This record gives sequence, C-alpha cells and structure tokens, in this order.
Amino acid sequence: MAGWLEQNALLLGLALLDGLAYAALVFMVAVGLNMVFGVLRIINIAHGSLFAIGGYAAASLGLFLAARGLPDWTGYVALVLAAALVGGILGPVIERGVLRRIYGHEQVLQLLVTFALFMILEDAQKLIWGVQPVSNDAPLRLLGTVDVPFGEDVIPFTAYQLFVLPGVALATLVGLAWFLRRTLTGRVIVAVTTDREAATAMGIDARRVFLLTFTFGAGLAALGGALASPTTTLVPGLGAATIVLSFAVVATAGLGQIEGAAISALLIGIGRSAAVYLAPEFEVVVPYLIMVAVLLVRPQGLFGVVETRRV
Amino acid sequence: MSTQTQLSRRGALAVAAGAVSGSLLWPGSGSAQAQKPAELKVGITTFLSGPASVFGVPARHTAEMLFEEINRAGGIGGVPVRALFVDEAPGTDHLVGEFRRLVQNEGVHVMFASISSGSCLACTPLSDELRKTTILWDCGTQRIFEEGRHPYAFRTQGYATPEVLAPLLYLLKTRPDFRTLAVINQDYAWGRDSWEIWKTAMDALKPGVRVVAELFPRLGAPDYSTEVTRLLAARPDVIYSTHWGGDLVTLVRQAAERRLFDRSTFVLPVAEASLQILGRTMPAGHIIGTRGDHWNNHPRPRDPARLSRFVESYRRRQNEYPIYPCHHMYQAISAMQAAYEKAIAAKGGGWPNDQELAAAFRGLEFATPTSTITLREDGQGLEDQIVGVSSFTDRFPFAVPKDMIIFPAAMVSTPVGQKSVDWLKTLKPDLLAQVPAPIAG
Amino acid sequence: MSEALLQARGLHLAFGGVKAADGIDLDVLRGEFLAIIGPNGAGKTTFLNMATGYLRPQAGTIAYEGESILGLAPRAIVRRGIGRSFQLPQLFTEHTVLENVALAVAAREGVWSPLRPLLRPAWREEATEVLARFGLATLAGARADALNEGARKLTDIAMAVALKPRLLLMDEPTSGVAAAEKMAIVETLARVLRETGVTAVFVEHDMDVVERFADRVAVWSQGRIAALGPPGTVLADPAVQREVIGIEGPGAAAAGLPGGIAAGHA
Repeated sequence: MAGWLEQNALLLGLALLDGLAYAALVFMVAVGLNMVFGVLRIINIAHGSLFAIGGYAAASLGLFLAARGLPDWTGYVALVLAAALVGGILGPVIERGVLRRIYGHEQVLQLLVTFALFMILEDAQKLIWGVQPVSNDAPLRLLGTVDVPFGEDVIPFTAYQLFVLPGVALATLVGLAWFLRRTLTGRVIVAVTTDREAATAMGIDARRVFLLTFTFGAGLAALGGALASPTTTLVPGLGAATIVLSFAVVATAGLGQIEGAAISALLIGIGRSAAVYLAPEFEVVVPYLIMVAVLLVRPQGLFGVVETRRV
Repeated sequence: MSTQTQLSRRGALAVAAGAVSGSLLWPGSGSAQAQKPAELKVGITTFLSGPASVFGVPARHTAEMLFEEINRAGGIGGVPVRALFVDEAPGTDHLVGEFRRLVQNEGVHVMFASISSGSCLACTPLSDELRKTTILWDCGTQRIFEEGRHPYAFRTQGYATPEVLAPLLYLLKTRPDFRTLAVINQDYAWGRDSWEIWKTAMDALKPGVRVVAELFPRLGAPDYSTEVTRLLAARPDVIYSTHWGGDLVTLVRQAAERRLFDRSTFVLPVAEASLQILGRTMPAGHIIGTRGDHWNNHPRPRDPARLSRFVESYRRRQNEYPIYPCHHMYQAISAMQAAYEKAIAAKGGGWPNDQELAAAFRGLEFATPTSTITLREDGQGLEDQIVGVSSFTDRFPFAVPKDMIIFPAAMVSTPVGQKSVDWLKTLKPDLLAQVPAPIAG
Repeated sequence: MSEALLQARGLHLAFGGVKAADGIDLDVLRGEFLAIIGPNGAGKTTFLNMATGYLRPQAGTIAYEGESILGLAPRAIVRRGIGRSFQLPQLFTEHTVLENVALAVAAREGVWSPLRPLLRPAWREEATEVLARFGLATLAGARADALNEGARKLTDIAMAVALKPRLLLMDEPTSGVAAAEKMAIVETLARVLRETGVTAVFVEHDMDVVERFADRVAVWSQGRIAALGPPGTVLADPAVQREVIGIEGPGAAAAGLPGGIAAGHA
C-alpha cells in the first residue's frame, strides 16, 4: 500500500488539482439548487438550463464586448454581468410566472412542471444560439498557464482553473455562509427553510422569501455556467447533463445545507478526478457511487437533518 | 342481326381481354408503382436535436438546397422530389416507428438513414422487411454489411474501417518511429469500435506499441481537464481520438491551451467537421481526416467546378462551409439520381418499382464533385479517403490538410464477405509499401 | 363591562360528517383571560384555527376590533394583532433561543435588510428583555432544538408575545410541561400579559390552572359552547364535571368518574 501510494502520490496530487476546479463548478450549481429546495421545497429540474443559459449568455456577451474592441479584462465583467442578468431576469419570471402556481401541490406535479420548464428553456436556448458549438475562451487564455512541477517534469495547468474557479467558489461559500448566518434576510431565509409554517404564523411574508431565494439560486446557477463557459464548449444538452450531476451532489449533501454542498462537491470532484487516473472506466459512475454510499449510511445526506413529520 | 350483336359483344370482350393481357405483358405494370408518381418522396432520418445536430442540421440544409435545385431543373425523371425529415434524437424505438409510418402510410419511395450507427442497425432490417431501398448516407458501423445480407440497403460513402485505417497508415508512413500511444474516445459504440479497429490494425502492422492510457469520457462531457492532465503526465508519442462535434472542440481547446499538442502528435480521423469552429485554435502539424475525400482544398477533384458550385451555394445560404455530413448527403442524393436514371433507362422510360430501383443501385457507379463512388455487390460504397496534416493557408480561415495522401477505397476497405476485425488481423507491414506518396503542399 | 375584542357569530364547520363547529357564538372581552376547556375532538383547536385564518368557516362571522377577519390569510391576521402559540411548539431549530425571539421582533418590524444583522442592538435588547420576563435569560444562547419541553413551550409563547399582539390565542400552553414547573410558568405568563395589556384565550386541560388564572371559562362540547362563565360557577356544574373533568384534574376522583377520554364524546 505504501509503495503504491509513493508511486502514485504525484498522480494523486494532480488529481487533487483537477478535482478542485471541477468541484468548484459543481458546487456553484448544486448550492443554488440546494437553497431553492430548502426554501421552496421544489426540486427544480430547470436549474440545469439556467446553468447552460448563463454559460451561453456569458460567452455571447464576452464575444460582443471583444468585437467592440473593449480591453480583455472586460471579459471577466461579462461573466458576472451575464450571470446577474440571467438570474435577475429569468429568476423572477420563473418564480412568479410558473412556480407560484404549483406551491403546495403534489411533488409529482411539481416535477412535471419544472421538467416542462426545462424543455422550454432548452428549446429557447437552441432558438437563440443554434445547435452549433459556441465558445469564448478568452478569459481562460488571458491568464495563461502555470507550470506545476511533477517529478522531473512539469504539467501546465491553466491559471483560470487552478485559481479563479476554486477562488470564486470559496468566496461564494464564505459569502453565502456569512449572509445566512449574520444578516437578517439570511436568518429569515433559514427560518423559512426550517419551518415555513412557523414563519408564516409570525407574519413573515414567505412568498417574498421564495422570490428572493429562487432568484438568488438562479443567479448562482447562471454564475456557475458563466464561469464554466471559458473552459468548455457550449452545446445543446449541457443543461441536462448538469442537472443530473447536481442532483447527485445535493442528495449527498443533505437538502438545504450549503456547507454540505461544498463538501459533497469536493468529494465528488476529487473522486471523479482520481478515477480518471486509477480506474477510468468508472469515471462517469463515481459521483453516483459516492451518492449511493453516503445515502446508504446516512439517508438524509452528510449534513441533512432528519425531518420530523409534523402530524 | 343477332349474330352481329353477339360478335361485336364477344369482339368487344376479346379486345378488352387483349388490352388487359397486353398491358400485363408490359414490364412492372402489374405492381402498384407502374404509374409515374406525383412526387418522389424521400424519407430522411437525421439528428435535428441533441449534440449530434451539429451534423444533422447542416445535412438537412444540404438536402433542402439540393432538392430545390433538382426540382428547378425538372425533378428526377420529371417527378419533383420532396423530403420528409425524421429526428433520430428521440431514440431507435421512435425511429423505427417513423420508418414504418413513412414507408407504409406516406408511401415514400426511398429512405435515407441515418447518422447514428444505432439508428442504421435498427433500420436496415426494416428495409429488408418492407423491401424499401434505404440509403445509409452517413453512419459508420462496419457491422451492417459484415453481419448479414441486406438487398435493399446501400451505403453511399465509406465507413468506420477505411476512416480509421487510412489515418493509421498515414501515421505509419509519415511518423513510423512512435513507441507509445494513448487513446481518448467518447464512451459509446463509435468511440469503442473505432478504438478496436485502430488497435487491431496497429498491432498487426506495428506490433509492440505501448498503450499508456485508454480514456473513454462520457459523450458530451463538458470538461477534459483531468484527462488532459493525465495525458500530459503520461507523455505518449501519439494521441488517437475519434471525438467529434462540441466534444472535439472542447478537447482541442483544452489540450492546446495546456500545450499537449507540443508533446504528442494527435491523430483525429473525424476532425474536419469541427475545424471551422476551431479556426486558428487548431494547432498545425497534426493528422486529420474527413471521413472521405471531400476537403475544401482537394488537390485534384474530379469536377472542380461542381465542387466549388456546391460549396459556394451552401456558403451563400448558410454562411459557413459545408462539412462532411453535407457532402455525404450530396453523395446520397447523387446516387439516388443516378440510380433512378439507370432504372428508368432499363425500363424504357417507365417508372421503376421497388425491386427495379434496388437492382439499379447494385454495382452503381456515380459521380461526386471530387471523384467517383462505386457500390459493391454487398451494398457498401467504395469511397477514397484523404488524410493529411493540419496547416493554414490564406484561402481559408480554418485548418486544411497539407501533404495529403489519397487512399484508394479498395486498399482500406474490408473485402466483401469478411469481418473487419478478422481482416485487419491479417494485415502485413508490407502494406505500407503500397501507400501512395503524400502530395506535397 | 369591557367591550368585545373578538366576536364570533354562528360559526359552522363540518369535516366529512363531523361537526367541528356547530353554531359558535362567543365574545372575547378586552383584557380578559378566557379559558377554553372540553374533551378532545370537541372543536377547540378548530375554533382557534378559524380565528387565526387557518380554517375558513362554512357559515358565520368573526370580527376583530369591529372589523370582519373572515377569509383573511394567517399572515394578515397576525398583522392585525392576533398572535398564536401552538400545541406543538414551532421553533426554528437552526437558530438560538435569542434569535427565535428576535425573529419575531423582526417579523413585527420588517425583515428586508440584506446586510444588517438580525441581532442588531435594539432588537437584541428587546428580545433579551422578553426572555428575561419568561425566565429564559440563561438559555438565550442555546440552540432551539436543544431545549427541554417546558423551555420550548415558553420560547414559543415568548415569540408569540414578542409580536406584541393585542389578542393572544394559546393552544395548551402548559401541555408537556412538568407539573412542578406548570404553575410558575403560568404565573409568569399571566403577569407578563397583564402588564402589557394583552387579552388571552387559552385552551387548557389542567383545571387547577383554569381555576387560578381564568377570568371566564368556555366549555366546548361537540362543536358547541355548552357553558360560559366564571370558573367557580362553570367548573362546579355537575354536567360540566361529567363531560369534561373526566379527562384530567382533581375533580375526577371526587366525581367518581374514571379518568380518560371515554367520559367525553367522540
């Protein structure tokens, strides 16, 4: 075992670096989904589309600004701006227009409605951006590569993936934790998450909390997509793939727990990267294996609270 | 008086009988398709949604464009053509249902199927059952004609075996000293089969190559960072990948950014369709293929005027160059025109029924802008393969091959009646001596 | 005579054949402590639910301070000044006791402040004061899910009180609380409410509590009010004792009735 570790320590070190970047993106999507479920108690299948549309919007906005001759750093502004726009516009539209009507309905109906929403958004995305791959990797290229020592060799990593992605994810985690722990609105969101009825009984307007939370969650998903867009190529089907993975992360984390989402994302991200080195055949399955393993031991997820049913 | 009446009635009957029996003697007049139809309906299955729509939608545009041209010129045999499109994306169950519906309810005359090998494998038995000529216009699986007889199915293009063997031969010819290789293919039938073909042939032609990594990421994976890191660490001499579409674009971008192209030579047999999108991001000096011979800078196309007319018409309508699915669609349509011409001539101007049409396809030789394609007795088309090394010229804003080798179809296609994997095992290194020299520039 | 703070007239509500409210007429007088007693299933909680907007009567009217509150959502009724505590305390388990009470203050004052903290000085002070009145000051920093039953109950009531309602409806405020603590808790509660001029209606099963702290008692039976009056009179009524006191309390032994629900009606 020790010999194997020695031999593979370097490789596992690489896996760690790759896993961090991957985990960062996964976290951004999952945390929004988790928050939305925690507060609204709706599993929003369309969340993946928000990720995809955030990515497309960021790529388009970046290309637009570059075409106007604006300096390269505006590409980063474009990322954040696109995410804010997508979240800020689609969030309220979806919450007010669609979700409002299905609160308190059966979960099956809610799933169907959010699934229909997902399909509508996918089609809208195809209508606007077409079916050919779209990409804008300028923000990635701008920061260049970092040569990470690997024995006697060096492995170039992109600075964007090594620093920006984990950095933004960490900032989001810290910011979100601070917001939910220390600010009034954050505390109210947690209250509504814990016990919506009690909150309403006190006169808190739960519906405004829903609007705020959903918009925020949508913005986080869109930001995840925007951050991912320089690293990847945007094609139809991206939303679907993202949502399935986020479910695995959210289920592992425990619904409504943001630290849980972070730990889960790390577990799954690093697990997946390690698999590429050690057992590539299992790479795709690893997130779900982790999810099943965790749920077998703790059905409520790593950090979830066992909900006592109120009779 | 009565005799005359009787005679005339009998005579009338006799004339009528004669007319009927006479018409029975006319070839093909007994079947339902003796009459020239009001329109020639063609059922076309292609990907209109999902990741493979990057192929399917341009192919559809091509079909629409060409059918318009054909109809402007008077149709096929004087009959206007109409396309009925079916989306392959919902899956084979849906596709099979649609295939039947198009043949039995809509009465299509010819079916074009499909992009996905899974779709083709599902549709060819149907073409047998329904006796409907089916042109396999794009799918690559070698299994179709190697595992059974399909009298009504014809593939008007190459397929996986030549598409993989030709780049391998190119590599062996131009960089014979490589010792290590890694594969990164999409995890589904095409990715797996194209690896099996390559590996079998490579082990036969150059035994002892060490495979340092076998990576099969999920179809549609948005991120190859980990795979790229692993390949950077492993330092193979050659990296083989049959990725396509958005996946290939992502892979090339990520690999190029981290200088993987500096360390390893890439072999990308189906790169052509992604080169426009990649533009200058595609590094020069790596081996690229196009599933055929229809490069924009083909060194000696059979009919340069026709090639440039096609390319320019497409560019005018779609604002981009046609990619190989477009050329494959063009080939299928050209074959259909040629076959109808041949069948109508054989019938002295009459309209062919299903059997006669299928007979016309067998052994058909039809022209493409770049060369000629022959359909073998087993239905498989023989299409030359051109492989080259990526380079940039002033003519195009994207990579095109230089130092191209034109591989004659017969050299790189499995002989009739044999299975590809078996045949590949019998290859000998002296095959390389037969490979033509690269055309410089 | 005090005027009526809450007026219910002719309330009717049936659930699948069972009449939970069968013509309820009741005036809750300003400043009084009104106890509601009766066997399980008599419709007591139903009445509280109708008064706070969780249920809508099929017939009848409810007015608060002269204005009808029929059809208003619970949130709106809270805003009008009617507070409620529940049989099972509904606390926010992720928050501390202090935060729970502060949330009630915030709900009263307005919660839309994304950057400023929940426990800002003014609210922290007020919440601490409320906790002190209920003797919960030492538990201020404890998480709500770590409390014993009695403390949870008190915190729930403290939150309801922090909303500064003018009418407070309490569903079994002492249930689940150890007998030794009961009287002390109710004493505290009564004192706080009288000091702040809050009118209280409470559903109660403990007759000792009712006797000591209620100004009037309303007896519920099968969806109707069977008796209404000062505790001394009502509780001495043999019919009431038969129907109601069989559930709990010292009267059971004296009346010679077996304890238990069988004494009441389904």
